Amino acid sequence: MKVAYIFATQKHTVSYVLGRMILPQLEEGRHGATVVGMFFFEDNNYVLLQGNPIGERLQRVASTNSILLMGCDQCCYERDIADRLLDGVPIGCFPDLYGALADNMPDQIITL
Amino acid sequence: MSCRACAKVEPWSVFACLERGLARRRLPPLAHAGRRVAAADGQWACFTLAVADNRLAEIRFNASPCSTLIACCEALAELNQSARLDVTPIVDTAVLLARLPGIPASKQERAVLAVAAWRAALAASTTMRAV
Repeated sequence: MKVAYIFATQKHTVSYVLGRMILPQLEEGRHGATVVGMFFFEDNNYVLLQGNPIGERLQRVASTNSILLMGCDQCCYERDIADRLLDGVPIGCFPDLYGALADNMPDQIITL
Repeated sequence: MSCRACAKVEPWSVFACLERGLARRRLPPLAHAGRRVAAADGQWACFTLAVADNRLAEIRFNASPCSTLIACCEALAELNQSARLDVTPIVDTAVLLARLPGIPASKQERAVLAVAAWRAALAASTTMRAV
């Protein structure tokens, strides 16, 4: 099964659910589903900043497994970080997300 | 000596331009309408102008709902507000991007689209005034 994650809620979504569950599972190849994309809203975009340790691990896994990473453009502009994201991580909105996933559509989109 | 295009560039916040642009985008069009310019991916923009006393008295636009494109259109409108038409208005992508340094490279083609739409509006305005 192919899945995409949308990180919409804040609090511990990135530091706990992504950083301590999804990411280690992906690194160890035992997540249980094929992740094709991750999209980040609001403060969750800070994980995509250059130098963020979770983000850098995520970028390595994404590169190895062809996982799309994308930040919400308005959220990044509002936080003045749009031009400081990890190399190769684009910003965009739903048309960009669907367009980028068009050749590798997920079976499920999971909002966290 | 200074000119608007080469004066020291003061960066603007992309998000602030987006916020102001969303408001301007809701306004009805003005008399001098430029051609609607579209990109291959379907994004589009169109400026309309009001001209008085050989100046750009008012500038409005409409555009597809893309944050970067709306911010670029708004910045062009603000850069050229009240500009004299016998002095070359700012139509340069590099000047626009220098004003909005927060736009990442992957989105800078939106500035090119905004500038193309702006040029189309200026051309239409020139034609209208010549008739």
